[in-house]
Amino acid sequence: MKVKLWGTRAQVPTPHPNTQIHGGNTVCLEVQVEGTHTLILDAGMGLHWLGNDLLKGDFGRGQGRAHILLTHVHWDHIQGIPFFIPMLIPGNHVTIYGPDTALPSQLRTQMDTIFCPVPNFFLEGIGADVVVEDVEASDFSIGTAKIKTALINHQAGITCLGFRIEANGRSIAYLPDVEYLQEAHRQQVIDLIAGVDLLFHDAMLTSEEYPKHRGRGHCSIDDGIDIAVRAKVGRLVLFSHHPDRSDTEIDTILAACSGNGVAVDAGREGTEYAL
Amino acid sequence: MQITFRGVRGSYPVAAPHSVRYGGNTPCLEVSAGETCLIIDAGTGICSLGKDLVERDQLEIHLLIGHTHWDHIQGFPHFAPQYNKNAHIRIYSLAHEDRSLGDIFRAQQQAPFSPIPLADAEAQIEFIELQDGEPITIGEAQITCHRLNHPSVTGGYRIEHQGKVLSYVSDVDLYGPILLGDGMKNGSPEQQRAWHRHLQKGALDLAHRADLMVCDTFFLPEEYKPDWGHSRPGDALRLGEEAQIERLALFHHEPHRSDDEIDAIQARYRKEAPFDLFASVEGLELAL
Repeated sequence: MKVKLWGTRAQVPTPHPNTQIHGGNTVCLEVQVEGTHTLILDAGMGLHWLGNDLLKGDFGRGQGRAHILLTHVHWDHIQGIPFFIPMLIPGNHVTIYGPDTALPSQLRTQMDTIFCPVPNFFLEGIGADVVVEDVEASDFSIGTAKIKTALINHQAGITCLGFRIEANGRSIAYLPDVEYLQEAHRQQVIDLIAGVDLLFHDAMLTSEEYPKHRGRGHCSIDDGIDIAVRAKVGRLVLFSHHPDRSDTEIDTILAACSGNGVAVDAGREGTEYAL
Repeated sequence: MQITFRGVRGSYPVAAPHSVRYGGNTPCLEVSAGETCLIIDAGTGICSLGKDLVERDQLEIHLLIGHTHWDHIQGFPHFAPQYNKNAHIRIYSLAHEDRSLGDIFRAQQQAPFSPIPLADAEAQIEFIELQDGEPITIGEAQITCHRLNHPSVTGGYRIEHQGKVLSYVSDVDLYGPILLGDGMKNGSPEQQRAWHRHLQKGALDLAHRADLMVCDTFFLPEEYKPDWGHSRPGDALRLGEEAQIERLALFHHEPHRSDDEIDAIQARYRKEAPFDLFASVEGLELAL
């Protein structure tokens, strides 16, 4: 299994000289499993650049197959979709999975002509074949990859999923947006991620910042470390960096994370993990 | 009049190594007309501006929106004055026939897409719909909005203050053969000719003797697509000459255009232009 980071940033894309190392694109991961179509976790602005990369292969010839798994539909998790060029090429096939029966209409809304000049490929007859599926807390397989989902506490009123992907004896988990307001919230996550090799976890807020933001959907970085240790994960990747966080600040945060009983990386756009 | 370029990139924000010098934030201009704080467009460039305005306690804000495609409004949910109870934000744009400007902004900022609905903003927010070609006064500035040839309902702005003129002509296909805006497309041939004349006169009125014209130059000649609603540097030069402008800012850079390519475009068209010309760069401040 190979995992590549195309977007690591929370909330809003942050082009800036100070975000060149860890990246300014909103969240998106590419997961390649041998013998299985391309898997994509979330569709922030990183998806555009992943799409351009995929065009060099089958997707450029209208023979690509991709599966996009969405945790939820806050803009920073879907805003790359209108600019995912493989969608405009007939013959490609893209399945989008998300946590809400209203997902098809939500994705059409994003491409309404009042907001978006790109042809609305969620309407019939434009571009790739697109299928949208509601997968609220169900387990399923895509090729040889086993996908496990769980409902995660994010923001009140928002249905948000976490994902675990297993293939060929290796595993990753993906929790870009999560807050732990009670032990039950922690237990849901620990059940989902127990023992994974690699965990991508919400790291938007430091422990100093967290109290001011309590109840708004994001935990602290220390919460992420605590969960990773309790769930005995192999490596924690700090993910969903705050839009105001510079590369230097992220490096400082990472340095303070050592010695906690789990290996920690700071998510960096362009990094590829081979498991 | 003081102008600061906060976002100069078209279509979507570009956080990539090729665009570090010119900048990857989507359109936003900060314009100070004396004590009047004007902002043109709310692309991601508005995020850093919002923090500065709160710091400066400059909270009487007039936001002029050219049109409501994502790259021109996507920064607004992250605009700090929205979450300040002392702020008063007035948002202006051309009226749509079937949807109010407030509805469009509320649709962007609502569950499940946005964590904080617009209704929960602490600032006082007002929406003001403009009519094509009708002049208005905002604080110390005289402003006119003219319809442009671009999909949906798009307007450009002419801002006059103490005898100086800033002209914002984006997004637009200035001399294109196809009518692209809502309500333009299905008329008789005579109605369509009338629209073309009306749009070209509107662009000319926006630009007339401007001290600075900020103009959409998304395409290079060899890339031009007549159904997208964007112009080439040559189109901006033609309008600038007809309107006798002083200075041209190439704007709304194509997302994949690298810093070196923009340098080359600037050098090439500087030789052809009978007036001063530069490529818009994020962070640039200038005074008219």
